[in-house]
Amino acid sequence: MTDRPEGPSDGPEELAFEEVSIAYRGRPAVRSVSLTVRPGEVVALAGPNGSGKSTLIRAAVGLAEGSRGLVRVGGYDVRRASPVERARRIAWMPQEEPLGDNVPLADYVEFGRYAWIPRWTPPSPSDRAAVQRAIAEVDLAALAHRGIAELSGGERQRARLARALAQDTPVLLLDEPTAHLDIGHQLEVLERIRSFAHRERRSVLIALHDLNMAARFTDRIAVLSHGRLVALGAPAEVLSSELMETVWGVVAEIRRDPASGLPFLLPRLPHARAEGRPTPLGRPRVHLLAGGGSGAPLMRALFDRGYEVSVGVVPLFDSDTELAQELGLPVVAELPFAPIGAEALERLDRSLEAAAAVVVAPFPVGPTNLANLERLRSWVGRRPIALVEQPPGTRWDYADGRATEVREELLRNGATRVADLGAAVEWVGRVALSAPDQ
Amino acid sequence: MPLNPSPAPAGTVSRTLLVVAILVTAGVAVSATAIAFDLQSHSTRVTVVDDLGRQVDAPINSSRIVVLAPSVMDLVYRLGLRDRVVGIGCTVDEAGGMQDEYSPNQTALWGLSPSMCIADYPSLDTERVAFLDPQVVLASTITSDADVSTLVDAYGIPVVVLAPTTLGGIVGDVALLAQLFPGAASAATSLETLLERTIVNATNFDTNLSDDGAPIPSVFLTYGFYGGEYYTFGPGTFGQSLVDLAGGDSLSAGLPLEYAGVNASVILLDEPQVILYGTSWNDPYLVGNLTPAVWASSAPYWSQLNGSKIPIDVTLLTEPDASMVLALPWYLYYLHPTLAPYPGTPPP
Amino acid sequence: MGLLLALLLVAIGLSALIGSEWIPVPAVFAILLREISGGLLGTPCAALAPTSRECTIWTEIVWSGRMPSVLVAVFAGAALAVSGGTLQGVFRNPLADPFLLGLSSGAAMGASLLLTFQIAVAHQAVLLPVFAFGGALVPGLIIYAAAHRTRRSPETLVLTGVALSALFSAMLATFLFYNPSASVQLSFWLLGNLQGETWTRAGILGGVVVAGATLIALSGQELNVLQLGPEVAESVGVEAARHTRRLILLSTIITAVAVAFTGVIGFVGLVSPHVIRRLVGPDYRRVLPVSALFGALFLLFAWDLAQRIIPPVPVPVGIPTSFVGAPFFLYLLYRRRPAER
Repeated sequence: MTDRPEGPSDGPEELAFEEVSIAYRGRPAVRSVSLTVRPGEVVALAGPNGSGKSTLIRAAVGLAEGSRGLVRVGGYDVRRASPVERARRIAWMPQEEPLGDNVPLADYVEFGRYAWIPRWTPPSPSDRAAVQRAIAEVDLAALAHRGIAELSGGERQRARLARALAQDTPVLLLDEPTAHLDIGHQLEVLERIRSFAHRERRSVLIALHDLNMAARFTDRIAVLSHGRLVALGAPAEVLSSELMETVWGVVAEIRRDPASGLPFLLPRLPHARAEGRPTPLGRPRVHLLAGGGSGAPLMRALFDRGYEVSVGVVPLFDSDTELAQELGLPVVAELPFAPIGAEALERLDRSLEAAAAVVVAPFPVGPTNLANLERLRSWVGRRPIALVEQPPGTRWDYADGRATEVREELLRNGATRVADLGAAVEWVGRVALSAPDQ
Repeated sequence: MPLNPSPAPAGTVSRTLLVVAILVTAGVAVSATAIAFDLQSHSTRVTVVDDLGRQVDAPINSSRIVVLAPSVMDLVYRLGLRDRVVGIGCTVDEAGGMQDEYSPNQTALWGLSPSMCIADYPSLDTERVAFLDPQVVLASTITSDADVSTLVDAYGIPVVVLAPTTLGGIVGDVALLAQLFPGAASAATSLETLLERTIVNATNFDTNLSDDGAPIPSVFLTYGFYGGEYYTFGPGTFGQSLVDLAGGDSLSAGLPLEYAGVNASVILLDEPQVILYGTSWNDPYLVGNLTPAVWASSAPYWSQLNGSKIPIDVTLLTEPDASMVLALPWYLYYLHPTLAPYPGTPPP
Repeated sequence: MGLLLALLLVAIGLSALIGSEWIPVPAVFAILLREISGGLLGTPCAALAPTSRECTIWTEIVWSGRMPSVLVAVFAGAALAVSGGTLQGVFRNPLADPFLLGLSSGAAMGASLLLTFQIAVAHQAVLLPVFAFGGALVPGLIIYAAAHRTRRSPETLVLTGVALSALFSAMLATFLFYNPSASVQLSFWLLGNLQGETWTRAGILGGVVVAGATLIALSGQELNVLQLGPEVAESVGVEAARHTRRLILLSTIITAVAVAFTGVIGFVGLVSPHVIRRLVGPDYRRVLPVSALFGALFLLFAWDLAQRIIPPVPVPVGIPTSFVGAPFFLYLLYRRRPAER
């Protein structure tokens, strides 16, 4: 037992994995990973299930038998350290742990101080202060005297984090610290971890599944795939569609958040590739006539299934317009409350030209947007058109019955009636796949 | 110390001198005797080795003794030491009477009463023993080692354990008691002689039997029955040696255990010529109130057994004491009614 | 805790009153006072009893007969309670008791070895505890060795204990088959027996138990951390394997020595820690010492009861502990405080 130091450890230290390889039950789980987390830096460790994230983290805490390579904190080799020495340098927040007895939260967090308190002596004021700080950091001060078995899953997770924080180490290893938290707490916890790391110059490695959170709250992202480090760098550099597809097998688009400039992912459903079979001009495109929010579900559904979607003509500031803009879809917009102008109609034509199928959402039709339907009359033989049924009993025709007339004319001339969203999507699936090349 | 006759005085002065001389000599003699007596009583303790090999330092001729087993009581009584017994091992039942650990004969013969009882089941009431303040405790293997060591270590009361394993050992126990009670030496000697002679007579009879080529009857010795089985004495038991000495061939000789139950049908098949069965009076340790009537009515296959069935007081079979040995002539008679002499003493 | 200690001392004093012979209450206390203070305090013998011989006898009975048994009850009860609580913590199993690792069967086998084969009959009273202690250590040491491999999960160790227990029980049955008379002696020992203790035995037991239990209690915080599993424990600095092994070893020793002198007494080790946890909470730094006191009181109370059930002879003390302990335990199980599930 070394002398008891006053307060936290000696100062900021970097965490370095050097050529770390770990074999688990004969199979290699981590292959020659080298990674350094600098003081004050938050690095996210990402990768699919089984990529070796937890194994790598456990190696740093001495729980990976059969590991080769070096894991050091500053100049100190933690693989050869005694548990106490290691506990003073690395704090680990595991993904899960057994429930244990119903100890009060403050006592539970105080377990994190074990390495600092000499045996058989009571905790000092600085130990208690560290515990209080850690509990405050995770916003559980009100529950400090509650037994941990009485906390919710999310609260227990924050308590686990508090224990790691109370350990006052230069290095923090957090394994899925936000797994059971609601969105509000997720944001809060990650924000606090980040500011804590920056403020106190700690080296933090977080295993995270949520890449968007990683992009927002970490300085660098390390991506593991099958035990190898395949990417390491700032989120903007690392996150790409290719990476998503190669490592996770997921089709996703990378967008930029206009407010922060940070990248975020829009994953498509896994079977997007099956349906959205590329045509020479790209994936099949569906044009959606919408407005007043009627097109939103359809827009999402089609987008998720990998179709290119264009929308129009919709007035600006309409909710369907906003959604389309958010999704980055081509929109033919017009000024609100103004009748659709010739330029807009021309662009509508171009959209329809490029589309393999057309779906008309059940939007309310008035004099200003009647032109949408009327324009379709000239397209009814050239493109498959589906008209989604209006919900029964609602008034949708505000154009003195002319909308109804046009609608029925379209139906007579070959447009298909579909009952609802699901039927529309199905119809698109059938029609778009068999669409002749354009 | 014999007095030497003093010579006759010459004249009155010599007569006074004579009287003085006689008185002085008498006084010296008396005090010498007294001193000798005193010296003798200083060696009031003796160290004996009991049947378990324990060295026990106990007072000689103790006036207060506790007897914890009926077998020991038998010897104590025969040596005339009954008056010194202040406590015996027995349990007082709810009605205030003695629970029948002693047969009615024994209770009557030895003059036992519930007030003498020291509870001994399931373990010994050592506090009561301590309370009675005995100078020595005579026990058998019925008393557990823990209780013996409590008496010795905690209360400092010497315990002599009598646990004979053979008939000869019973005789040895008499000698052991004689060491502890030299005042009963002559009674002990007579008892030893009697026991030895009984055993020798039996042995000689056996020798004659085999010399004459007389038939040896098959004997089954049983002291109880339960659940279709008869309880008998296997090899190494007193019952076994009694049958052997009585010149019989015990059916139980080949059993693997000392105390075993034998299935009743086996007995039926083996057809013993003589069946010696123990009768008891509701002894809590054995199997209940087994009078001859009970045997006749409840023992399995009893009426179908053809041998001669002879009841014996079960204490003579299970308690290793003088009575057990002294019953030998009767066994000889039962097994060999034509050859053995009729014993004069009352039947067991 | 101070309250419990005071209660225990009072109970010890009162227990001296209980026995098969009636000794007046003031005399008992005067004797205790006199003997404890080495003759300085308390009334001299002449004033207490009608005759000095009677006084000597009373002193013998109270001081040499009753007190050793009382002290053995205190130390054995404390040992069993601490051991039970420790094993409940080490194995994270609320049903653990001191005999979880097969100690009772091992001790019984050791004792039956002595009794069946009538080894050194003259010294049986001394040898019985030795054989029982040795027998109890066998499964404990086997499991201690098995715990050296950190991969052995608690479940594996417990099952090892179960298997060893079965093995020893079978050996025990075999021995008894060949000498049924030994089974009578053994059966009383198996139910727990506090009669006939001496100061020497109480002293040996007390010394080992106090030393062992103190060493265990010093690892209270480590035991707390171990409740979160060995991985978390290692990560905060507790060497899980080393502490687990040490606690198993110490618990085995104090249980074995208790069993050696008293036979197998059930329920004390199982119930005491649970009662105390409900009173003082789950912190082992407090649960272990307080359980020791409670276990001592419990067994002492059971011994007092055992002497009064069929006077003048005591029943085996395991009978009242089970009759009191089992329903009490059921009550604890099924009475839930509103805050808990």
